[in-house]
Amino acid sequence: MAGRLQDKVAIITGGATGIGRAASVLFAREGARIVVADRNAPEAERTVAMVRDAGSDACFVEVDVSKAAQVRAMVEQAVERFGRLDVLVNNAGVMIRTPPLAEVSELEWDLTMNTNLRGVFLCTKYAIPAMLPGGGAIVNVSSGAGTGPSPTAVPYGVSKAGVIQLTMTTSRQYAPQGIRCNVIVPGLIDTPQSRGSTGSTEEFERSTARIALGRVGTPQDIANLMLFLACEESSYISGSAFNINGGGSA
Amino acid sequence: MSQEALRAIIDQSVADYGFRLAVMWGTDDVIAGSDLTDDEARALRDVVVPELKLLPDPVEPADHASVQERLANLAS
Repeated sequence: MAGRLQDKVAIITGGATGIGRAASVLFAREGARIVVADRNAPEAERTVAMVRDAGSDACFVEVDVSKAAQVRAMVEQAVERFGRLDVLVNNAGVMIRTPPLAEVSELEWDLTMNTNLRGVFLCTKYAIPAMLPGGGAIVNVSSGAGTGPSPTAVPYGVSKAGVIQLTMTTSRQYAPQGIRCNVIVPGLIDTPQSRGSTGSTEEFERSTARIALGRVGTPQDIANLMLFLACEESSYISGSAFNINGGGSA
Repeated sequence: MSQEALRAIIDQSVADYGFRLAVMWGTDDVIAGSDLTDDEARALRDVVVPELKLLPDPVEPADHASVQERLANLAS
């Protein structure tokens, strides 16, 4: 039986670990060939091996999504290797905890914005021309921090709010040409980034206890929604934001 | 002044996993945005970053000071 992404080609940024890895393997099980794009070569190569174990093909492209030349080369390699591009998952991101705004350093601001917002802009900019012949789907990743005040990670919240806006604009401009663009807004998910950025194991567990559904989200939870938004089952959905947060925190 | 900048990068890298990721995988950008001498930039790249890659995720708060001190000593 054909998979839900049979013969499609997907670039997944931040594919080395966590949500990106889960999406890479899930998409592969559904028939997609995967470009695992990341800066973390050892872990990305592990993801490639997992995709191959799942019965599909994959390659690793080392890329810093904030660098235009590297992003352009990533898209070129995807098309060269697999002949097409159908899906882009803009999953790469970084969360740097910061003090109140007046004390946020320019370095903290730039590092966050460059990966989280400039990276989504560049990947989308260079993927669109490769998708235009047949259309495609772009799945962006924002955060609950992007929908309200983000006092402990100021640049992160701003960057993730920008991703939601960029999603709506991308959809408005390119849905008429067959490229859908949606954004996932996760709450607390059990990833290396989340565990590390919470500050301590104790604090991570305290945050988990406040979630209405009584558990922390898994990378698989997010990957499942990414798959839906990437495949034909969501063909009438574009420009939309999807909260996935276990019912929110008390 | 710049010695303080290197120490600040080490301290934040230990305490904040997100910042650590940025330093590990975007070392050039961190150096470009910081006030480091050439020697300190080299120490960050050649000594500190390989050590950061070996740290647990997260470094628990009770361990911050000792790990920060150890990395600062290695870098000096």
